[in-house]
Amino acid sequence: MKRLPIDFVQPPLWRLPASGRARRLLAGIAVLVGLGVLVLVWYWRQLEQQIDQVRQEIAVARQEVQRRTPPPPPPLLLTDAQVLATNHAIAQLNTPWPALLDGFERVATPDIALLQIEPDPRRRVVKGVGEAKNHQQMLLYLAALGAVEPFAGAMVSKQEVNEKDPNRPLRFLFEAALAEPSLPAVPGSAAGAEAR
Amino acid sequence: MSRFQPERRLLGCTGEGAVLLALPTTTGTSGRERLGAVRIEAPAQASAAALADALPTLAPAPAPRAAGAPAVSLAVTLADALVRSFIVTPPIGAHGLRELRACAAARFTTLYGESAEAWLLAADWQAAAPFIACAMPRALHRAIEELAARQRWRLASLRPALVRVWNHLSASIPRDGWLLVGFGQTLSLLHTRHGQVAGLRNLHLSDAPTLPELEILLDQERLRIPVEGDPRARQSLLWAGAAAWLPATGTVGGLASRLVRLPAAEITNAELPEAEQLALAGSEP
Repeated sequence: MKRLPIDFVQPPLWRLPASGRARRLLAGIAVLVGLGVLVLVWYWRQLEQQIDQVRQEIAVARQEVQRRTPPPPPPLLLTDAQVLATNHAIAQLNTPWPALLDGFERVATPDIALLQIEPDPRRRVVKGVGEAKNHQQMLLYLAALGAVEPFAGAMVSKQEVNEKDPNRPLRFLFEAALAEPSLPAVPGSAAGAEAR
Repeated sequence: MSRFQPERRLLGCTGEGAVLLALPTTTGTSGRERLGAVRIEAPAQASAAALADALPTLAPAPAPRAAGAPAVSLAVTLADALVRSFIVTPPIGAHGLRELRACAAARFTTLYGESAEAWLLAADWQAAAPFIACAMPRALHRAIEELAARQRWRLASLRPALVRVWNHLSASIPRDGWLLVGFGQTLSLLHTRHGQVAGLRNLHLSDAPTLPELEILLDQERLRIPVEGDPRARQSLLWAGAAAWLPATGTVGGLASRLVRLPAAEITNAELPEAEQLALAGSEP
């Protein structure tokens, strides 16, 4: 014979025997909860698959973008000769041609023929070739030239008598030093321009 | 002593009084201590109310409980004379506890001629077979709850003696026969047939019955219950309880008989008061 569950003390809720209806209800709720958990797990896996797929697509797109993007230009590295040439060109461009020409114009005389001028920015001098009737006129010219701006002095580097010319002029090469204060940079023409 | 192993208090209640025992946490009843007892002088009809009034004087005021002190549980065993036990046959198609409760209340009213409102019902609720229902006075139930609350004891169980004996011997109860429970001067007779309860009676005996008187009582009860076929076929008797007059013979009234004394260790020369017998019956799990 089975035990009698007769007791005048109300047992705690967790010790109450569940009736058939309550048991069925609990079983139904448990089944529903189980189904809900299954649906959630399935949905979670679907989401994970979608996330993985999107990540793969992003990776492919990134590779495609990288493939289509041109490579960056290599860094500009100049050789020493290129740097010197560039600096030389810049110095030539920065030659103060108006001031130089003004200086030569101021000391110009009919007795002196200025055949060529060539600035040397590295040495800050202007080389020139001229012809004079005699030594005295040459020296006077160079003295006058060295006294006007932008020059700080002028000296003969070479002289000779042009025997081929019937007038036998004195051809001389000179260097006129530029004054120390740097002149304002002005756009000028290319080096080697000739002035008559 | 582990704080998680509760101390036990056993309360036995009869129409003549109550006894409160303290048991150590170990199993068994050897180290029991009698904490208090009350004795009432009241007519049988008013014994439950008088007992409810006397219960507050059963135990002294509780001392403040020390931190970490073990919990105390209280098991109460009611004499079958204080309880109205009966059998309810549920109507065909009955289902639901509310319907079964209504059936039990109606059966109570039919048997005892009064409303069950003042009684607390507990039963082995079954919708497809006759079941045992027990009712105890609400006033007595309230008094026991107040006693436990005042002493800060956990009311673990509150059962009639018949139910305690049934649960202790459930494996030995004959499927066709009788379970006879005796405590003090009270004899409860429960008839089983085909594994179901078929009859239930509580008798208050004026004096300790002899074996011939018990046989006459048994014959009278068997006559009250219609028996199919041979009335003595395959029936047996199981006597249980702590009363000294329970028969230890192997045959009673021509039926095979067996006696189980409860509690098993309480075989003493001097018979204990019925309330103490009942209290000790509560020590059984």
